[in-house]
This record gives sequence, C-alpha cells and structure tokens, in this order.
Amino acid sequence: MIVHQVLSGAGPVDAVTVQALRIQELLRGWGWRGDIFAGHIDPRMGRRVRPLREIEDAEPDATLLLHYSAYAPRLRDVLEMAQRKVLLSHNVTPARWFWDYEPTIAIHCALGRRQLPEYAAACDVVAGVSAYNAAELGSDVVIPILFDPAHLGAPAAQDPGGSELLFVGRLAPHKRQDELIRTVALLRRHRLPGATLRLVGEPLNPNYLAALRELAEALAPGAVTFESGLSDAELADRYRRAAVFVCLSEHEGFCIPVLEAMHLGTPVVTRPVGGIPEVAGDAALLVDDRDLAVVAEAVALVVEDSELRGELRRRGSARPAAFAPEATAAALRAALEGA
Amino acid sequence: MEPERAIEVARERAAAARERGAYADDLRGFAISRPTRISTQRLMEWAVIEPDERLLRSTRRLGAPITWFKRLLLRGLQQQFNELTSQQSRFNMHVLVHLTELEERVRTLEDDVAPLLREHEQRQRRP
Repeated sequence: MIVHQVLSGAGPVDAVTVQALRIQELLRGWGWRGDIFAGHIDPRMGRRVRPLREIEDAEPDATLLLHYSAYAPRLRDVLEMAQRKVLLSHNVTPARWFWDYEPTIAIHCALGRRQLPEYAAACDVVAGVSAYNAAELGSDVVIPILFDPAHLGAPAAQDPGGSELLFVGRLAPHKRQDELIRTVALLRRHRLPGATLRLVGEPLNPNYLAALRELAEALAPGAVTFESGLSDAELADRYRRAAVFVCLSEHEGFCIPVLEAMHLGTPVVTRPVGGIPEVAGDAALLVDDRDLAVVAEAVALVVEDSELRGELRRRGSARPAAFAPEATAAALRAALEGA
Repeated sequence: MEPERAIEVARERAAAARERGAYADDLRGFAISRPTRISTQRLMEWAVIEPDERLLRSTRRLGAPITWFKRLLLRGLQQQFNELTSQQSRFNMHVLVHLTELEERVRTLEDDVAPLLREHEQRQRRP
C-alpha cells in the first residue's frame, strides 16, 4: 500500500512534522511506502520532505494522509485529487484567545477553523488525534499521537520532593500561565512558602513574556523562572526535578507534556479541557474549579501527601502505554485501510 | 489519600480557609499592551506595492555574477512581475476601501449614539 502524507509546513522541531516522520517509519515497518509532502519546507529537513507540487505525480492507488494543524490554503488543490484521502486533525486553537495579543495569529486561527470542516467534507475518512478533535468534525475516528518518550530518557529514580511547580508549553493566552503565576502566589502566601514555578516554552511575542514577568514579580517575586529552547536532556531534567506538573490551559487538543510528565514520574494536576481527560485518564487530578484556591489546595495536597503523590506517579507511569506505538498503529491502519 | 478523593478534599480545605479569611488576595494586574497597530494612513502608503529592484541581490561572497543573473531574470519576467504587483496592489486597495468605510460607519454610529448614552446616564443619576 502507498500512503503519502501531506503537511502545510515541515520543520525539524515542528510537532506535526515529527508525527509524520514517525508515521512514515511505522508504515515502512509494514512494508508500505510513501513520501511526505509540504508547502513550506525548512531547509534543515533535507530530502526527508518533498515539495508539495510534486504530489501531482502521486500514484492513482495511493492514499493521501492530510495532517491539519493550521490554516493551509496550499492544500486546497490536494483535495481535488482523485486519490483516497484521510484527514487527521491536530486541532486549531480558537482565534478568540489571540485577538488582543497577536491579531495576525488570530486571523490564521480563524481561517484555519473555518477551513477545517470544508477539508473534512472533501476527505473519505476524518480523524482526530483525540476523540475531542474528532468530535469537533463529527467523527469518532481517533488516531492518537505516536508518543515516543525515548528521547527524554528514563523516569526519575526517586521522588524529588520539594515544591516546584512546572508547566511546559508555549507562553500563550490560552495556556493561562497567568493563572499559574496566581496559583503559585496563593500557595506561597497560604500553604507552601517555598513554592516556586518553572514555565518552559517559547513566548507568543516579547510583549506577552514581559507582561507575564511583570505579573510574576508583582505577585510572587523571585519565585517564577522562565525558560525556552531547552535540549531534550534539559527538558527531562526539569520534569524530573519538579514536584508537580500543573496545567491550567483553557484549550488543548491533546497535550503531549502531560504524557511526558507522567512518563518521567511527575504527578499531574490539570484542568480537564479539550483532549486532556482522555490523555490523562485516571492518572491526574482533574480540577475544573475556576477558584484558584481549590487549585492551590489540590497542588498542596500532591506536594504534602506522599501516598497521593506515589499513587499518581504509579498510575502516571502506566499511562503512556495507552499511547504506545502498537495502539496507535492499529488505529492508523484501520483508518487507512478503511479509506 | 486516593486521587479520587483529592479534589473534594481540596474544595473543603479551600472553603474552610476562606472562612478563616484566607485566599482573599487581590491577584489582578495582568495588563498587556496591545501590539502596535499600524495606522490607516500608513496602510494607505503601503497599499500600492513597489518592490525595490535594487534589493534583488546575492548575499554570498563573490555573488556579483549571481546578482547580475537574478536581475537579468527579473527583466525577462518583467511582464509577469508587473502583473503580480498590480494584482496585489488592487487587492490591498480594495481591502483598505472596506476598512475605511467600516471605520467611517462606526464613527457615525458612535456620534449618533453619544447623546442617547448621555441621556441614559443622566436618568440613572436621578433619584
């Protein structure tokens, strides 16, 4: 069987590109073949990705797997090709989170979300990387992320203790790092005077980073650390030394950092939004309260109660198995063969 | 403690702490200056695009022949290049017309509504 994958853009650190490369490896393991095509290609990708225009020569019996994660007008021509098509939605963040902070991104998000159903209608099979993403398009076909934590190394040998909170994700309005800063401020004032917060991620723009820094200095001086551009080893180190991974995002299509934290033995407290409940299962504390006092108390419980922390670590360590390559491979194969 | 119990316990503890007067902190203060908006006047200046052909050059060391070749190519493709720039300029101009019309309509509406708002505020102030 021939399966070509289509992306709007490809780069070495782009999560969707990484997924496409892993899927390609999987397909080759089955004896299938196929290339990856993209509209924009980072020169560092070398020959691993082919220019989108070359897909015109695709074999008539090939299946096209379209990865959708952002506004992609260049993929429109692909929809008109006669080959069977599978759309895999990685989710597009709603524009409302960006209008006040980065309107050009908001425009892309608005266009992307408007375009997605149109693309879905033109494909033979529509799937999402989570049930949440699939349901947005009226589908129940789920092809989860191929989660491979090998690059992060082994879990922490022992509980690091301490009271450091960690969140990994782009510094952006819908990720609500501002709420995390407020939470650590409450913890320091009322429950854990030594609590600190580490925020790892690229900022949306310099203005947004400056505003978060200002809030951190006003509410919890010296307690919040901002980091970005970490290597895999450095990132794994941050997970291992954190007492708890806290996610107060308002929108997540999947949230790989939750799985990474679980793999490395960090207990997780998170809001149950978007695809997070299916990713976290019963291995995290799901706090849907808007009251940050409840969030702070939940975090304090995890930090102080070794039995609770141990149980979350135990359940968390088993959770990545639900996203093992075998499970995703079966779902992927069923979707591709059913197209 | 089992994770299934933890959130309930956290809620109880937060409620009890609030009764003692805790968690009454003022945590506001997250103000982000809007990204700089380009003025309509400036957009008008940008609408008709005129790419500077002198910027068409090679940045490589000893790139003079490449620069010469690129400019030669551009001259050969001048008709297509002009078509591209005129299409883009046409689009930009029409978007700007829409934008300025909308701004004008909003301004007119705000002017029309202003006396009504003042009257409403005065009524609310009356005992």
